[in-house]
Amino acid sequence: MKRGSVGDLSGVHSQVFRPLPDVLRAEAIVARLSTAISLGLLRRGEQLPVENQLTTMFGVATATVRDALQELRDQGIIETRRGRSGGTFIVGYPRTNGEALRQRLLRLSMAELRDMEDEHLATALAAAQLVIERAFPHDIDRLERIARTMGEATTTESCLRADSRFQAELAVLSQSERLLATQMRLLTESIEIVWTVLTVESDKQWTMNDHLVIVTALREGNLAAAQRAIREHISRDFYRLVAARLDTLYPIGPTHE
Amino acid sequence: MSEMRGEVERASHAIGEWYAAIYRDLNVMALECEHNLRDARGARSELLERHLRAIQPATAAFLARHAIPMAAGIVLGPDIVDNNFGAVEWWRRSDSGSTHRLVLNLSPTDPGFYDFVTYEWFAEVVSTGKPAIQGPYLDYAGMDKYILTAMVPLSLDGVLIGTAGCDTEVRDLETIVMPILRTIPGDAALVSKFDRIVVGNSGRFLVGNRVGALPKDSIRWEIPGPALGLQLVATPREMNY
Repeated sequence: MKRGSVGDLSGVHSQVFRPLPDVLRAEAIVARLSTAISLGLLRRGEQLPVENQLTTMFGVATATVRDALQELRDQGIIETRRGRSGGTFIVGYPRTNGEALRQRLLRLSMAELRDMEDEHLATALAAAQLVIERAFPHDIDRLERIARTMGEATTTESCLRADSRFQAELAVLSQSERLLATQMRLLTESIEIVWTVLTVESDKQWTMNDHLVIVTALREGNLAAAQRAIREHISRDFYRLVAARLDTLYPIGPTHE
Repeated sequence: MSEMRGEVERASHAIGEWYAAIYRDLNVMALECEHNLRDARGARSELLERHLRAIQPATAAFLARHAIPMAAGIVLGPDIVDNNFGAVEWWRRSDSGSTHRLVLNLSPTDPGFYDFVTYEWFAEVVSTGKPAIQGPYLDYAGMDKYILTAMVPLSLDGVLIGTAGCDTEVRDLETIVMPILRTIPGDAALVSKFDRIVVGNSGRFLVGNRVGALPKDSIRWEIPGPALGLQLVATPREMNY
């Protein structure tokens, strides 16, 4: 083994690089599909690829895919129908596990939260620039319609889907597949956590207003205004995440000595 | 306002005490390393690269005493040992409780070259002979983490040959400093001598940002203890959102 490669490192590293057990892979598939459905990337009524396609796509054993699908079936998220128009369909939304999401937030350090905010900013600011260069008026109309769907949202889950859909569309209109992939990864990591600290009553309205300010600036081709609005919006989301995390981990006592 | 001043002063002392203990033990480690190097060299007049392995017990003792730093070691400038590139003898903690040696690339023509002589923690300490701290910074090609590096001078037979010190991940330092900062009834942050935020007690002061202009009624307080230029800034809480 070459000196300096991971292979000559002891104990911990052999643990890190051990093969993944099938049960973890199945959980990863369940998590991936659940998040995609929560974020509105996969929609209710949509049909999933057949079992052996999924096997190839995820690069796992057939049994692993079966375990994952069974778990999703047990949770009432998918349903498999027999017959000519049969197949596996998305029929429900995953229950959001608020506690698990909160734990994920608590595990993030200040440095990691700030870094996540940085990547959100970098992605959205670059997307805005490309949207102004590339989008047509009807693209902006579409973005505005998506922004306004939040107006009808009555639950945290539906706010989350509307928010996620808006942010994804911003990347879609940039025409960059890579930016969209980055945006999707970021949304997968963070948007559910963001909506554990936001509420429909107090946060739906400004979120939608911010989105509409961004839409207007993009429509006017005003890059500076679009980027300022994006920046303020993302900063606000992360300010709230930081506050929620610190208030839980380091509560401020009512009195100081 | 005056009430906050008291809290700021207490917090500064608490942070200063933590750093004082770290630097005291880094000086102890530097002396132990000097002994180890002298023993390893034996009767020879010059120090060889392989002699550096002898300092491992000194670094392990430091890491055993302090739970927060992730790695410790010594760094020698070019021409001290038998190569032209200097030497980094750096040991990092592993989960199993032991330590392992960091393998770095010190050859300037290599793309993964670790160009340490220009880092503050090296250049400043060897030019002034005084302790210093650098960070937070991304230690690319080194630890590859977001860290702070604390360094003291390292001598051999009365001659300054390099630096001895430790790395701390920003996320680990946060666990020490945040509870202290949260006792301050306002937005507060520990900042480096360049005014870069190390730990902040709210979303107003995010690590890595520069503090920038502060309102008039803000407080700045030197962190007592080793002269590292660290400061505590505090300002009445601003509810942005």
